[in-house]
Amino acid sequence: MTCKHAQELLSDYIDGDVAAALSVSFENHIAECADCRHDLSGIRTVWEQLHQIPAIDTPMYFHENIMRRIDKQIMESEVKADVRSKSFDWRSLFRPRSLAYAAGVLVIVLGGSGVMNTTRAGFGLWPWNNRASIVDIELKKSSSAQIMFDTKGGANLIVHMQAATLPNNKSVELHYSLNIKGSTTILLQGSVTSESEIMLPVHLYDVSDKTFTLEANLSYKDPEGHETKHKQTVPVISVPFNSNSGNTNPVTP
Amino acid sequence: MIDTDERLLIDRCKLGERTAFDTLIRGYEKRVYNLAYRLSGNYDDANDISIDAFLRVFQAIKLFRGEANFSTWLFRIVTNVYLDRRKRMQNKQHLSLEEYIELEENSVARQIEDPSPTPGVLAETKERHDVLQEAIASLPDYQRAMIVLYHNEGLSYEEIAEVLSLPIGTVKSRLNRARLVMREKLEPHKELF
Repeated sequence: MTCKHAQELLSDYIDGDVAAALSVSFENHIAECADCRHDLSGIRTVWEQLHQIPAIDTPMYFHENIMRRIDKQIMESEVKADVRSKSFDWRSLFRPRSLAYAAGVLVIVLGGSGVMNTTRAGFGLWPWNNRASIVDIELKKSSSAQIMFDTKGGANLIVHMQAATLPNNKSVELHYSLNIKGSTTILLQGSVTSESEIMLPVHLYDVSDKTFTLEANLSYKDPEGHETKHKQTVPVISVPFNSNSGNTNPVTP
Repeated sequence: MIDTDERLLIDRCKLGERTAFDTLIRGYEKRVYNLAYRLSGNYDDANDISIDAFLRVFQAIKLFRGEANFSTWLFRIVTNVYLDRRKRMQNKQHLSLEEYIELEENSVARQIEDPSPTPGVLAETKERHDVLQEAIASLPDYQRAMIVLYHNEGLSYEEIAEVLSLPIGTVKSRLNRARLVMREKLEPHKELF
């Protein structure tokens, strides 16, 4: 047996998956060849060690984060289905019953008013004016955070947030949970409106890896109790350390 | 192939029952997160891969016919999510080799400082596990997936062949090659083993 052939059989041999005759030939080769013997012993070690790697735990709120995304998906598909069901279907216009109905309506409208400029009112009957409202919630584009590292290995993080107004220019109050991912994960909760900007000071005690991600999980409940959820990343601007700027004085939340 | 309780749970998921999905994923989320971590080599990616994979499962569960184990189907989705992300990253060419290595080092450093992972990782054998994890991370994508699925997730060769859509012979020969590569990677650290 050649070394190349023996090397191809290493895992099968440990698995006990080599036919008896071939196994004898393999063992004879291993007895004579120090390199292949070394490989066999090394592969056995790899095998044993890989099985001993401990499982790691899931991060905090792992399950909740998954379910939040699932809920968002459910909600989006429900809104889409709702919009579809309330949207106007052009094909229905050309069905015989619809054409007969439309002709009837036209006769009544023309006959009742005696004028032709009733087209606008006629359009008012059409279902596309009755679409379900899709609430797009988000933070205002100017929402951001500034991080100032201090000399003690910590940092001050100031988060500015303001809810964007709804498409109909109405103010909105959003509930947020802010997930600060860095050397430690911090979760903050509260509410933010489109009326005024909020400033949220947070002192971070250990920022040795200097990598931060801010995720805002937003939710909005309309008067009928329907909830809309949205996840948004808040950009983090790093401010260089300046001893005169007061960076060394931590701001406590 | 799958037990009755799980089959009933999956049937309820197919009807869109949120609570059934909640229960179903609770039983798998740790294994999914571990698989994603061993494949990606860092906690943030493991988190994103896991969430994306569960979203795909939620969208596609109606297509699960129950011919294979649910776990095999699930691991196939996790592996595909990981491979898709790798492809996207390679296409964008955002990461140079140096940056990738640096990311790996950061992820090891974060292991010490981030309180969210288990303290078990920080035990006496941490150095050995770090060396092993680095050796796994250095393998090509498919070999890495095979090593993790076989040795960490305990899948059979047949199941791995199904997850990766490869013939069993290919799985066996690539696994053998991957173990030999790992042996070479661990050689400079043999005092640990």
